Amino acid sequence: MTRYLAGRLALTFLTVFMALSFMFGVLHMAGDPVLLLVPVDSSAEHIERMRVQWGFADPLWVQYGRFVWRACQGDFGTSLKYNLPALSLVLERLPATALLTFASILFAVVLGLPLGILAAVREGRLADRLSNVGSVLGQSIPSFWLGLLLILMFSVTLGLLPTGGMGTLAQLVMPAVTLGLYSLGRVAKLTRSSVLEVLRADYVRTARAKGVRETTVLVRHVLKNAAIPIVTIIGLQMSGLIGGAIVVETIFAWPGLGRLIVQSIQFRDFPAALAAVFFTAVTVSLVNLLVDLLYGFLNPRVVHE
Amino acid sequence: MTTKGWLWSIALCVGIALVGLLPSVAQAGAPAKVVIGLNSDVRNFDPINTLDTTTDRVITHIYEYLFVRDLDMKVTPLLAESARPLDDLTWEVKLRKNVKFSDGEPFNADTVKANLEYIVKKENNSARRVRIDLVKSVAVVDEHTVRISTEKPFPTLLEGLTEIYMAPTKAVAAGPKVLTDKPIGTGPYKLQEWRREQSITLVRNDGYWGSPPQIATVEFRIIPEVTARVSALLAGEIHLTPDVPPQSMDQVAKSGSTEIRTVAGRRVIFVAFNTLQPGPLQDVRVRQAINHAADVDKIIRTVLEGNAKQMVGPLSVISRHLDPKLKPYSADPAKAKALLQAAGYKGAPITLHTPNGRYLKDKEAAQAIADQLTQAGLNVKVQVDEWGTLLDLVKTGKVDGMYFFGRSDTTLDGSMIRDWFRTGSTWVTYSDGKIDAAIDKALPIVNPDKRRQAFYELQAQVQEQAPWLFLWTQVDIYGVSKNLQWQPRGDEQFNIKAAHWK
Repeated sequence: MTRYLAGRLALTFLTVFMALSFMFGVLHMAGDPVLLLVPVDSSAEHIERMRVQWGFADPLWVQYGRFVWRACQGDFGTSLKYNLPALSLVLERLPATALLTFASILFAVVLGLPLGILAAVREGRLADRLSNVGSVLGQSIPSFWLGLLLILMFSVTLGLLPTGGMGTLAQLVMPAVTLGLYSLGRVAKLTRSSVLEVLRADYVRTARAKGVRETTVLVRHVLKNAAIPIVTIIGLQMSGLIGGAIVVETIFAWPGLGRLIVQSIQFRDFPAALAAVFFTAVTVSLVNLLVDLLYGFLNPRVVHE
Repeated sequence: MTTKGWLWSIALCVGIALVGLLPSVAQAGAPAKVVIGLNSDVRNFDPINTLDTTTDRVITHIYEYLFVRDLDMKVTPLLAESARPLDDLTWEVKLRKNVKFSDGEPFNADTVKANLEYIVKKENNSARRVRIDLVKSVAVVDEHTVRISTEKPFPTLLEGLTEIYMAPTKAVAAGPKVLTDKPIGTGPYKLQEWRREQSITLVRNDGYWGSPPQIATVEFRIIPEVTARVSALLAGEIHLTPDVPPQSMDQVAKSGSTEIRTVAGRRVIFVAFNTLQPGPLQDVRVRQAINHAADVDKIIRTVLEGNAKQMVGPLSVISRHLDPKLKPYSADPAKAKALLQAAGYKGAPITLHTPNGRYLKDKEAAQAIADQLTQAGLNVKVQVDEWGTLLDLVKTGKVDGMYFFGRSDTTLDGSMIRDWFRTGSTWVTYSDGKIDAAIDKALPIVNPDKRRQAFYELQAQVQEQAPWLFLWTQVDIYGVSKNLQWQPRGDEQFNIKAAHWK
């Protein structure tokens, strides 16, 4: 187990390093950041001076070497746009991203799991069909459309919820629902198919034959065995939401990581973009590791070696 | 779904709605502050190393200039009391007395010397240097008088000073970066809180030298998505927002509590030709043909729903050197065709580069223009570029054909022609020796009448040579709460100091 963990952590390190190097190359290929950062009417001379000051005049391999050396010491440089340490910009987005990710996953699981089970238990009946339609809708409604629709309905027309921002619980509702709806659909569909599969297993028939109560059968035998794919999909969704909630963050003015990544790429604020990618890569790798470890807990037949 | 399931769903909906009720109850009553919706955050609060519209819109409430533009865009004294030229190369500026920075440091001649000399020193790489680059040195005459020496005659010095903030001497000496998140100014407001990418809250500076502003607190709220921003205005969460899209104007005007206020801005929009590369655009007849082939007025009416004013020549419609006798190119496809024939144009392809979302309806307008040009016999294809990419292409001169672009008429004086057309200026893809000579002759003229005359002649010359397809000066569209007494300004500033509730 220890060897397995050490191996996985080394792999995580390698993944993060490769993600950063790839990002560094792509960003620098996209072009010169100086033009976007200086005022439009700057003189050519001023632009050149800024290029030297920010270190973009050096050959690419020198810039890369400097970046790797500093990154190893935890220094991602100063954000070109904000003139503040890049890593601290990323870290201050963290609570917002964590809160939104957690809330939307919670929404998806709390509604998606029962919906999926219900659909499986009542396979082919009305509840199943409704849940199916709901899941498909949840997955296919574009979030920018749903988000704006929710704002128009709950903020402008009904005046119930604030249009955006972060701070109160009310401000969390619409972003979490918009973001969670897609995951909800996936969780519900996957729960349904996993539960259906287990319901047909021999040991479930045996349990029923022994006269075990249906609720107990569902919780003890079915759910626990159907859990692995469900945990996988939740982990996957979580990885996607960290840094991937760009549309929702933009619509609801939510100060999360996704918006920081997009903005720093638009502005070619390389230090901020790289710090954000570093952080996302680390988190996603760790979530994946956690999901793999959970398998062993859920199903003792999975052995990590 | 079972009955139980339905009950649960309903309970959840009710729960969500109840949670939502909490803040709206707290929001009832008269607004305690003015909330302004912005699409992006300030870069930071350093007044010397930043120069962009969004940052200026916020920090002009904290820092002040020596001179400021009034609502008619006329230059008037602010921290200065008066200015007069002593000779072609020297200005004497008298300063306002009894002005203090919010940390108690007095504002005086030393402040002016420290700020201007820091900004013009090349090694300091100040973004604002471009506004006053001809300033050589500043001499302190007495505590409230300075003499500003310039390298060459600098008739637009005062216009330049309307974009130069005064920071405390101590902060300038320590390096203006100390002001990055702790601004210290002489202005009517102080920074209370900056929640990056969320909001900026300013409170009244009680030690302000002028009459105290009536609005005690101003909050700038960052809402990047335009529909969400308009929704926040309609929901009463914000009271003022710039850049309302034309398609939302009706909704804002009819809501009952909000209205649209517009003003002719100073941003000029055009299609520039790259004449530095070989191709049909090097022929002046082709460039003139394009100006005749485009029906600018029709595009303003249809694509922009009337929210622009057609440019006559190369200057903005609010420039004080705009020649009132100048007439725009007529929309005349037949004339365009004749000019193309005379130029021997055989249908060589011309690319029209355009950004998407940088300027009001830029991509849509570019497509409409391309259609009109195609009807006149030109072979135009539109290429949408990411903004950074387009800047790269223009800066390096590699942009092929023509490009949809905008510039800001910062001086509102004919001298902008230098920045826009003089060979070798940044972002200029045009070169004409005769125009260069005329620019060099007109720029240093100090006498107002002779200067105006020189720029009248120059703009006629530029118009004839057609280095651009002249389009329009943008109209800035604001959505405002009806009960907020506030007037939009041509320079995109908010100036909340002058606002109050009705």
